Amino acid sequence: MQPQIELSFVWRRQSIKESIIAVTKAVGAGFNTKEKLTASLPQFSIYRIALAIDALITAGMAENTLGVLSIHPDMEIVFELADSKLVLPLTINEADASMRRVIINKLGSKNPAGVESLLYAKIAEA
Amino acid sequence: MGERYSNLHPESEVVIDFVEHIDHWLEYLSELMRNADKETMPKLKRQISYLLAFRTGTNCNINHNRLLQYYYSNRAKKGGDDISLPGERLNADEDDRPTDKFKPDTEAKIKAFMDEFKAREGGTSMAIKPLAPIQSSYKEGDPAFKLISKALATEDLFFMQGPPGTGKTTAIVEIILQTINAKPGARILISSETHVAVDNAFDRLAEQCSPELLDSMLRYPQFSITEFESPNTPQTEALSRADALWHKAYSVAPELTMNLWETLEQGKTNDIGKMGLPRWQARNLAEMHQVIGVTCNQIDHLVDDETEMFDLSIVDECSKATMPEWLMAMSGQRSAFWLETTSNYHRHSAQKKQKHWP
Repeated sequence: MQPQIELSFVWRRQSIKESIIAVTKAVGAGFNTKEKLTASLPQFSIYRIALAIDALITAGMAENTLGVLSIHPDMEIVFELADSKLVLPLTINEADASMRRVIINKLGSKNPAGVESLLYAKIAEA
Repeated sequence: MGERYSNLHPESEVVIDFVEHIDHWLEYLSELMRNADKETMPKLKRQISYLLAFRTGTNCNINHNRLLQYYYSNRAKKGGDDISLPGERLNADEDDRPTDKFKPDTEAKIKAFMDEFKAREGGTSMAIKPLAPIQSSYKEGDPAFKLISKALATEDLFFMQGPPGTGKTTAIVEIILQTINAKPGARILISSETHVAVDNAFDRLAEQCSPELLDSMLRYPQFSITEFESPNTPQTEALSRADALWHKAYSVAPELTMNLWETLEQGKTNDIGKMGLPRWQARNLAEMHQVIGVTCNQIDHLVDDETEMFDLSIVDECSKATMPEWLMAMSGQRSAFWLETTSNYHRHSAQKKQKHWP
Protein backbone atom coordinates (compact mmCIF):
# COMPACT_ATOMS: atom_id res chain seq x y z
CA MET A 1 0.00 0.00 0.00
CA GLN A 2 1.33 3.41 -0.98
CA PRO A 3 2.24 5.63 1.98
CA GLN A 4 0.12 8.73 2.50
CA ILE A 5 0.49 11.82 4.59
CA GLU A 6 -1.97 14.49 5.64
CA LEU A 7 -0.58 17.99 5.23
CA SER A 8 -2.37 20.86 6.91
CA PHE A 9 -1.39 24.48 7.46
CA VAL A 10 -1.84 26.41 10.68
CA TRP A 11 -1.57 30.15 11.35
CA ARG A 12 1.73 30.98 13.00
CA ARG A 13 0.34 34.05 14.77
CA GLN A 14 -2.77 32.52 16.32
CA SER A 15 -3.33 35.65 18.40
CA ILE A 16 -3.79 37.90 15.38
CA LYS A 17 -5.07 35.54 12.69
CA GLU A 18 -8.55 37.13 12.82
CA SER A 19 -7.02 40.59 12.43
CA ILE A 20 -4.94 39.40 9.45
CA ILE A 21 -8.06 37.95 7.79
CA ALA A 22 -10.05 41.13 8.48
CA VAL A 23 -7.36 43.52 7.24
CA THR A 24 -6.81 41.47 4.09
CA LYS A 25 -10.51 41.39 3.29
CA ALA A 26 -11.00 45.07 4.13
CA VAL A 27 -8.12 46.22 1.93
CA GLY A 28 -9.40 43.92 -0.80
CA ALA A 29 -12.80 45.61 -0.52
CA GLY A 30 -11.23 49.04 -1.04
CA PHE A 31 -10.77 50.17 2.56
CA ASN A 32 -7.10 50.69 1.92
CA THR A 33 -6.08 53.80 3.84
CA LYS A 34 -5.62 54.21 7.58
CA GLU A 35 -8.88 56.15 7.96
CA LYS A 36 -10.93 53.80 5.78
CA LEU A 37 -9.47 50.71 7.40
CA THR A 38 -10.11 51.79 10.99
CA ALA A 39 -13.61 53.03 10.10
CA SER A 40 -14.52 49.72 8.46
CA LEU A 41 -13.10 47.54 11.25
CA PRO A 42 -14.26 49.10 14.55
CA GLN A 43 -14.55 45.59 16.05
CA PHE A 44 -10.75 45.41 16.05
CA SER A 45 -8.41 47.41 18.24
CA ILE A 46 -6.03 49.74 16.43
CA TYR A 47 -3.22 47.79 18.07
CA ARG A 48 -4.28 44.47 16.52
CA ILE A 49 -4.87 46.11 13.12
CA ALA A 50 -1.33 47.49 13.28
CA LEU A 51 0.05 44.07 14.26
CA ALA A 52 -1.78 42.48 11.33
CA ILE A 53 -0.46 45.04 8.84
CA ASP A 54 3.01 44.53 10.26
CA ALA A 55 2.76 40.74 9.84
CA LEU A 56 1.45 41.12 6.28
CA ILE A 57 4.16 43.56 5.24
CA THR A 58 6.85 41.38 6.84
CA ALA A 59 5.55 38.40 4.87
CA GLY A 60 5.57 40.44 1.68
CA MET A 61 1.80 40.03 1.46
CA ALA A 62 0.99 43.73 1.78
CA GLU A 63 2.57 46.86 0.40
CA ASN A 64 2.25 50.40 1.62
CA THR A 65 2.48 52.97 -1.18
CA LEU A 66 2.20 56.52 0.16
CA GLY A 67 -0.32 55.45 2.78
CA VAL A 68 -2.34 53.23 0.48
CA LEU A 69 -2.24 49.51 1.21
CA SER A 70 -2.43 46.76 -1.35
CA ILE A 71 -2.62 43.02 -0.75
CA HIS A 72 -0.69 40.32 -2.62
CA PRO A 73 -2.96 37.90 -4.52
CA ASP A 74 -1.22 34.99 -2.75
CA MET A 75 -3.33 35.75 0.33
CA GLU A 76 -6.09 33.80 -1.43
CA ILE A 77 -3.77 30.77 -1.36
CA VAL A 78 -3.05 31.42 2.33
CA PHE A 79 -6.80 31.43 3.14
CA GLU A 80 -7.35 28.23 1.14
CA LEU A 81 -4.44 26.44 2.77
CA ALA A 82 -5.41 27.52 6.27
CA ASP A 83 -8.79 25.87 5.89
CA SER A 84 -7.89 22.65 4.14
CA LYS A 85 -5.97 19.40 4.44
CA LEU A 86 -4.01 17.84 1.62
CA VAL A 87 -3.60 14.07 1.44
CA LEU A 88 -0.42 13.31 -0.49
CA PRO A 89 1.28 10.08 -1.59
CA LEU A 90 4.46 10.78 0.36
CA THR A 91 6.21 9.51 3.45
CA ILE A 92 6.76 11.85 6.39
CA ASN A 93 10.48 11.93 5.60
CA GLU A 94 9.81 12.94 2.02
CA ALA A 95 7.64 15.88 3.07
CA ASP A 96 10.58 18.01 4.10
CA ALA A 97 11.00 21.77 3.72
CA SER A 98 11.98 21.62 0.04
CA MET A 99 9.02 19.39 -0.81
CA ARG A 100 6.65 21.73 1.06
CA ARG A 101 8.04 24.63 -0.96
CA VAL A 102 7.47 22.67 -4.20
CA ILE A 103 3.85 21.99 -3.15
CA ILE A 104 3.18 25.68 -2.43
CA ASN A 105 4.80 26.67 -5.73
CA LYS A 106 2.67 24.14 -7.60
CA LEU A 107 -0.44 25.70 -6.06
CA GLY A 108 0.48 28.84 -8.00
CA SER A 109 2.10 30.89 -5.28
CA LYS A 110 4.41 33.71 -6.36
CA ASN A 111 5.43 34.41 -2.77
CA PRO A 112 5.94 30.99 -1.18
CA ALA A 113 8.21 32.37 1.55
CA GLY A 114 5.42 34.77 2.51
CA VAL A 115 2.93 31.91 2.66
CA GLU A 116 5.24 29.96 4.94
CA SER A 117 5.92 32.93 7.15
CA LEU A 118 2.20 33.25 7.84
CA LEU A 119 1.44 29.52 8.03
CA TYR A 120 3.34 26.51 9.26
CA ALA A 121 2.86 22.98 8.01
CA LYS A 122 1.62 20.11 10.16
CA ILE A 123 2.29 16.66 8.81
CA ALA A 124 0.70 13.42 9.98
CA GLU A 125 0.40 9.92 8.58
CA ALA A 126 -2.95 9.58 6.85
CA MET B 1 15.77 51.57 50.49
CA GLY B 2 18.99 49.64 50.79
CA GLU B 3 17.32 46.99 52.90
CA ARG B 4 14.46 46.77 50.46
CA TYR B 5 16.61 45.97 47.48
CA SER B 6 18.67 43.52 49.47
CA ASN B 7 15.71 41.15 48.99
CA LEU B 8 16.44 40.93 45.29
CA HIS B 9 18.96 38.20 46.06
CA PRO B 10 17.36 36.18 48.83
CA GLU B 11 18.85 33.26 50.68
CA SER B 12 18.50 30.03 48.73
CA GLU B 13 16.78 28.32 51.67
CA VAL B 14 14.01 30.93 51.64
CA VAL B 15 13.40 30.64 47.91
CA ILE B 16 12.94 26.88 48.17
CA ASP B 17 10.04 27.37 50.61
CA PHE B 18 8.22 29.58 48.17
CA VAL B 19 8.85 27.37 45.17
CA GLU B 20 7.88 24.30 47.15
CA HIS B 21 4.55 25.87 47.96
CA ILE B 22 3.92 26.50 44.27
CA ASP B 23 4.87 22.88 43.59
CA HIS B 24 2.38 21.66 46.18
CA TRP B 25 -0.30 23.63 44.39
CA LEU B 26 0.76 22.14 41.08
CA GLU B 27 0.53 18.63 42.53
CA TYR B 28 -2.86 19.38 44.07
CA LEU B 29 -4.30 20.82 40.85
CA SER B 30 -2.91 17.92 38.82
CA GLU B 31 -4.61 15.51 41.22
CA LEU B 32 -7.90 17.41 40.87
CA MET B 33 -7.67 17.05 37.08
CA ARG B 34 -8.08 13.27 37.39
CA ASN B 35 -11.74 13.59 38.33
CA ALA B 36 -12.53 17.02 36.91
CA ASP B 37 -15.66 17.49 34.83
CA LYS B 38 -15.79 19.19 31.42
CA GLU B 39 -16.50 22.59 32.94
CA THR B 40 -13.79 22.49 35.61
CA MET B 41 -11.01 21.04 33.45
CA PRO B 42 -10.21 24.24 31.49
CA LYS B 43 -10.06 26.23 34.76
CA LEU B 44 -7.60 23.78 36.27
CA LYS B 45 -5.46 23.75 33.13
CA ARG B 46 -5.46 27.54 33.11
CA GLN B 47 -4.43 27.74 36.77
CA ILE B 48 -1.64 25.23 36.21
CA SER B 49 -0.35 27.19 33.22
CA TYR B 50 -0.31 30.42 35.25
CA LEU B 51 1.46 28.72 38.15
CA LEU B 52 4.08 27.26 35.84
CA ALA B 53 4.59 30.62 34.15
CA PHE B 54 4.86 32.32 37.53
CA ARG B 55 7.28 29.66 38.76
CA THR B 56 9.56 30.45 35.84
CA GLY B 57 9.01 34.18 36.26
CA THR B 58 7.65 34.71 32.77
CA ASN B 59 4.26 36.24 33.43
CA CYS B 60 4.73 38.49 36.37
CA ASN B 61 6.02 41.85 37.37
CA ILE B 62 9.40 41.39 39.07
CA ASN B 63 8.24 43.58 41.97
CA HIS B 64 5.39 41.16 42.63
CA ASN B 65 7.72 38.18 42.58
CA ARG B 66 9.99 39.87 45.04
CA LEU B 67 7.20 40.92 47.37
CA LEU B 68 5.51 37.55 47.36
CA GLN B 69 8.75 35.84 48.09
CA TYR B 70 9.19 38.18 51.04
CA TYR B 71 5.67 37.53 52.35
CA TYR B 72 6.14 33.81 52.10
CA SER B 73 9.46 33.90 53.83
CA ASN B 74 8.64 36.07 56.83
CA ARG B 75 5.99 35.36 59.39
CA ALA B 76 3.53 38.13 60.19
CA LYS B 77 4.13 40.02 63.39
CA LYS B 78 1.46 39.94 66.02
CA GLY B 79 -1.49 41.90 64.68
CA GLY B 80 -0.29 41.49 61.10
CA ASP B 81 0.74 45.13 60.91
CA ASP B 82 3.89 44.60 58.92
CA ILE B 83 2.86 44.52 55.29
CA SER B 84 5.73 46.64 54.02
CA LEU B 85 9.14 45.49 53.05
CA PRO B 86 11.95 46.32 55.45
CA GLY B 87 12.62 50.04 55.33
CA GLU B 88 9.38 50.72 53.49
CA ARG B 89 6.61 50.59 56.17
CA LEU B 90 3.87 52.23 54.14
CA ASN B 91 1.32 51.61 56.88
CA ALA B 92 3.23 53.44 59.56
CA ASP B 93 1.92 56.80 60.74
CA GLU B 94 3.69 59.81 59.32
CA ASP B 95 5.56 60.58 62.55
CA ASP B 96 6.37 56.90 63.03
CA ARG B 97 8.25 56.61 59.78
CA PRO B 98 11.48 54.66 59.92
CA THR B 99 14.49 56.82 60.49
CA ASP B 100 16.97 54.69 58.61
CA LYS B 101 19.93 56.85 57.80
CA PHE B 102 22.38 55.80 55.20
CA LYS B 103 25.91 56.92 54.85
CA PRO B 104 26.30 59.84 52.42
CA ASP B 105 28.04 57.71 49.78
CA THR B 106 25.26 55.08 50.03
CA GLU B 107 22.62 57.77 49.61
CA ALA B 108 24.47 59.13 46.57
CA LYS B 109 24.58 55.64 45.03
CA ILE B 110 20.87 55.12 45.63
CA LYS B 111 20.08 58.53 44.14
CA ALA B 112 22.22 57.80 41.08
CA PHE B 113 20.50 54.41 40.68
CA MET B 114 17.03 55.96 40.95
CA ASP B 115 17.88 58.82 38.56
CA GLU B 116 19.19 56.33 36.01
CA PHE B 117 16.07 54.17 36.48
CA LYS B 118 13.72 57.14 36.06
CA ALA B 119 15.60 58.36 32.98
CA ARG B 120 15.39 54.88 31.45
CA GLU B 121 11.83 53.98 32.43
CA GLY B 122 10.35 57.45 32.03
CA GLY B 123 6.82 57.72 33.34
CA THR B 124 6.23 54.07 34.17
CA SER B 125 5.98 54.70 37.89
CA MET B 126 2.55 53.89 39.26
CA ALA B 127 2.95 55.96 42.42
CA ILE B 128 0.39 58.77 42.55
CA LYS B 129 0.07 61.62 45.02
CA PRO B 130 -3.57 62.75 45.02
CA LEU B 131 -4.11 66.42 45.78
CA ALA B 132 -7.70 66.11 47.00
CA PRO B 133 -10.50 63.53 47.10
CA ILE B 134 -12.58 63.23 43.93
CA GLN B 135 -15.69 61.72 45.50
CA SER B 136 -17.66 64.03 47.78
CA SER B 137 -17.98 61.26 50.38
CA TYR B 138 -14.35 61.89 51.35
CA LYS B 139 -13.05 65.00 53.04
CA GLU B 140 -9.45 66.06 52.97
CA GLY B 141 -7.63 64.69 56.00
CA ASP B 142 -10.18 61.89 56.30
CA PRO B 143 -8.36 58.79 57.73
CA ALA B 144 -9.91 56.68 54.96
CA PHE B 145 -8.61 59.08 52.31
CA LYS B 146 -5.16 59.03 53.95
CA LEU B 147 -5.13 55.27 53.56
CA ILE B 148 -6.22 55.58 49.92
CA SER B 149 -3.36 58.02 49.39
CA LYS B 150 -0.96 55.41 50.75
CA ALA B 151 -2.43 52.80 48.43
CA LEU B 152 -1.97 55.17 45.50
CA ALA B 153 1.63 55.82 46.52
CA THR B 154 2.43 52.11 46.24
CA GLU B 155 4.42 50.85 43.27
CA ASP B 156 3.65 47.17 43.65
CA LEU B 157 1.19 45.60 46.12
CA PHE B 158 -1.19 47.02 48.68
CA PHE B 159 -3.57 45.08 50.91
CA MET B 160 -6.59 46.65 52.57
CA GLN B 161 -8.93 44.97 54.97
CA GLY B 162 -12.13 46.28 56.49
CA PRO B 163 -15.42 45.14 58.01
CA PRO B 164 -18.57 45.20 55.82
CA GLY B 165 -20.00 48.65 55.16
CA THR B 166 -16.81 50.59 55.88
CA GLY B 167 -16.42 51.84 52.32
CA LYS B 168 -14.12 49.42 50.56
CA THR B 169 -16.05 49.66 47.30
CA THR B 170 -16.02 53.46 47.61
CA ALA B 171 -12.26 53.19 48.07
CA ILE B 172 -11.98 51.12 44.87
CA VAL B 173 -13.87 53.84 42.98
CA GLU B 174 -11.70 56.60 44.46
CA ILE B 175 -8.51 54.73 43.57
CA ILE B 176 -9.67 54.24 39.98
CA LEU B 177 -10.79 57.86 39.60
CA GLN B 178 -7.54 59.17 41.08
CA THR B 179 -5.48 56.85 38.85
CA ILE B 180 -7.30 57.95 35.70
CA ASN B 181 -7.01 61.56 36.79
CA ALA B 182 -3.24 61.29 37.25
CA LYS B 183 -2.59 58.90 34.37
CA PRO B 184 -5.30 59.35 31.74
CA GLY B 185 -4.06 56.41 29.67
CA ALA B 186 -3.85 53.90 32.54
CA ARG B 187 -5.37 50.45 31.98
CA ILE B 188 -7.16 49.11 35.05
CA LEU B 189 -8.44 45.66 35.93
CA ILE B 190 -11.19 45.15 38.52
CA SER B 191 -11.22 41.53 39.55
CA SER B 192 -12.50 39.12 42.16
CA GLU B 193 -13.16 35.44 42.57
CA THR B 194 -16.91 36.10 42.38
CA HIS B 195 -18.93 37.76 39.63
CA VAL B 196 -21.07 39.62 42.18
CA ALA B 197 -18.09 41.43 43.73
CA VAL B 198 -16.91 42.58 40.28
CA ASP B 199 -20.45 43.64 39.36
CA ASN B 200 -20.90 45.72 42.52
CA ALA B 201 -17.59 47.55 42.09
CA PHE B 202 -18.34 48.18 38.42
CA ASP B 203 -21.85 49.41 39.17
CA ARG B 204 -20.55 51.85 41.77
CA LEU B 205 -17.88 53.13 39.40
CA ALA B 206 -20.45 53.60 36.61
CA GLU B 207 -22.51 55.69 39.00
CA GLN B 208 -19.62 57.98 39.93
CA CYS B 209 -17.62 58.30 36.72
CA SER B 210 -17.77 60.72 33.81
CA PRO B 211 -19.56 59.76 30.54
CA GLU B 212 -16.14 59.49 28.86
CA LEU B 213 -14.90 56.97 31.41
CA LEU B 214 -18.19 55.08 31.22
CA ASP B 215 -17.57 54.62 27.50
CA SER B 216 -14.22 53.04 28.24
CA MET B 217 -15.52 50.50 30.79
CA LEU B 218 -15.99 46.85 29.89
CA ARG B 219 -17.59 44.11 32.00
CA TYR B 220 -16.59 40.71 30.64
CA PRO B 221 -18.46 38.56 29.85
CA GLN B 222 -21.69 39.75 31.49
CA PHE B 223 -23.27 40.94 34.73
CA SER B 224 -24.58 38.40 37.18
CA ILE B 225 -26.64 40.97 39.09
CA THR B 226 -29.93 42.26 37.67
CA GLU B 227 -30.48 45.38 39.77
CA PHE B 228 -28.10 48.27 39.30
CA GLU B 229 -27.42 51.47 41.22
CA SER B 230 -26.67 53.22 37.92
CA PRO B 231 -28.90 52.84 34.85
CA ASN B 232 -25.76 53.20 32.70
CA THR B 233 -24.04 50.10 34.06
CA PRO B 234 -25.60 47.46 31.74
CA GLN B 235 -24.22 49.19 28.63
CA THR B 236 -20.69 48.23 29.72
CA GLU B 237 -21.41 44.52 29.21
CA ALA B 238 -19.08 42.92 26.64
CA LEU B 239 -21.85 41.52 24.43
CA SER B 240 -23.56 44.92 24.23
CA ARG B 241 -20.25 46.59 23.42
CA ALA B 242 -19.48 44.04 20.69
CA ASP B 243 -22.98 44.34 19.26
CA ALA B 244 -22.65 48.13 19.01
CA LEU B 245 -19.29 47.81 17.22
CA TRP B 246 -20.60 45.29 14.67
CA HIS B 247 -23.55 47.61 13.94
CA LYS B 248 -21.13 50.50 13.49
CA ALA B 249 -19.03 48.39 11.11
CA TYR B 250 -22.15 47.39 9.17
CA SER B 251 -23.12 51.03 8.69
CA VAL B 252 -19.72 51.74 7.07
CA ALA B 253 -19.04 48.50 5.19
CA PRO B 254 -22.11 46.22 5.05
CA GLU B 255 -20.72 43.59 2.66
CA LEU B 256 -17.35 43.32 4.40
CA THR B 257 -19.03 43.13 7.82
CA MET B 258 -21.35 40.29 6.77
CA ASN B 259 -18.40 38.45 5.24
CA LEU B 260 -16.35 38.80 8.45
CA TRP B 261 -19.33 37.88 10.63
CA GLU B 262 -19.50 34.53 8.86
CA THR B 263 -15.78 33.93 8.39
CA LEU B 264 -14.90 34.70 11.99
CA GLU B 265 -17.87 32.75 13.39
CA GLN B 266 -19.02 35.75 15.35
CA GLY B 267 -22.60 34.60 15.84
CA LYS B 268 -21.67 31.06 16.89
CA THR B 269 -23.66 29.58 19.76
CA ASN B 270 -22.20 27.42 22.50
CA ASP B 271 -23.29 23.97 23.75
CA ILE B 272 -26.36 25.34 25.51
CA GLY B 273 -27.46 27.41 22.51
CA LYS B 274 -26.32 30.73 23.96
CA MET B 275 -24.42 33.17 21.76
CA GLY B 276 -20.99 33.75 23.23
CA LEU B 277 -18.18 36.11 22.46
CA PRO B 278 -15.21 34.61 20.56
CA ARG B 279 -11.94 35.00 22.41
CA TRP B 280 -10.41 37.16 19.67
CA GLN B 281 -13.32 39.57 20.04
CA ALA B 282 -12.97 39.61 23.83
CA ARG B 283 -9.26 40.45 23.53
CA ASN B 284 -9.89 43.22 21.03
CA LEU B 285 -12.63 44.66 23.25
CA ALA B 286 -10.33 44.55 26.27
CA GLU B 287 -7.72 46.54 24.35
CA MET B 288 -10.28 49.13 23.31
CA HIS B 289 -11.41 49.79 26.87
CA GLN B 290 -9.59 51.25 29.82
CA VAL B 291 -11.34 49.76 32.86
CA ILE B 292 -12.07 46.04 32.65
CA GLY B 293 -14.20 44.05 35.09
CA VAL B 294 -13.61 40.29 35.05
CA THR B 295 -13.31 37.39 37.50
CA CYS B 296 -9.82 36.08 38.28
CA ASN B 297 -10.42 32.86 36.37
CA GLN B 298 -11.60 34.66 33.23
CA ILE B 299 -8.73 37.13 33.00
CA ASP B 300 -7.05 34.56 30.78
CA HIS B 301 -9.84 35.03 28.18
CA LEU B 302 -8.63 38.59 27.67
CA VAL B 303 -4.91 37.91 27.56
CA ASP B 304 -2.63 36.44 24.92
CA ASP B 305 0.94 36.86 23.67
CA GLU B 306 0.20 40.29 22.25
CA THR B 307 -1.72 41.76 25.17
CA GLU B 308 -0.36 44.91 26.74
CA MET B 309 0.18 45.00 30.47
CA PHE B 310 -2.44 46.48 32.77
CA ASP B 311 -1.26 49.35 34.95
CA LEU B 312 -3.34 48.54 37.98
CA SER B 313 -5.13 45.42 39.14
CA ILE B 314 -7.72 45.60 41.92
CA VAL B 315 -8.79 42.32 43.54
CA ASP B 316 -11.87 42.53 45.74
CA GLU B 317 -12.62 39.86 48.37
CA CYS B 318 -9.16 38.48 47.78
CA SER B 319 -9.31 35.80 50.49
CA LYS B 320 -12.05 33.99 48.56
CA ALA B 321 -9.59 33.44 45.73
CA THR B 322 -7.04 30.65 45.87
CA MET B 323 -3.35 31.26 45.30
CA PRO B 324 -3.46 30.34 41.57
CA GLU B 325 -6.47 32.62 41.15
CA TRP B 326 -4.87 35.68 42.66
CA LEU B 327 -1.70 34.98 40.74
CA MET B 328 -3.81 35.33 37.61
CA ALA B 329 -4.97 38.77 38.72
CA MET B 330 -1.43 39.73 39.55
CA SER B 331 0.28 38.51 36.41
CA GLY B 332 0.91 41.11 33.78
CA GLN B 333 0.01 44.09 35.97
CA ARG B 334 2.30 46.91 37.02
CA SER B 335 0.75 47.33 40.44
CA ALA B 336 -1.94 45.55 42.40
CA PHE B 337 -4.38 46.52 45.11
CA TRP B 338 -6.15 43.82 47.09
CA LEU B 339 -9.18 44.25 49.30
CA GLU B 340 -10.70 42.02 51.89
CA THR B 341 -13.73 42.07 54.16
CA THR B 342 -12.86 41.19 57.75
CA SER B 343 -15.75 38.76 58.15
CA ASN B 344 -14.63 36.76 55.12
CA TYR B 345 -10.98 36.85 55.90
CA HIS B 346 -9.16 33.64 56.53
CA ARG B 347 -5.49 33.00 56.42
CA HIS B 348 -4.01 31.24 53.44
CA SER B 349 -1.01 29.05 53.63
CA ALA B 350 0.75 32.11 52.30
CA GLN B 351 1.93 34.41 55.04
CA LYS B 352 -0.30 37.24 53.88
CA LYS B 353 -0.39 40.42 55.82
CA GLN B 354 -3.22 42.86 55.74
CA LYS B 355 -3.93 46.49 56.31
CA HIS B 356 -6.39 47.47 59.03
CA TRP B 357 -9.14 49.84 58.09
CA PRO B 358 -8.86 52.89 60.36
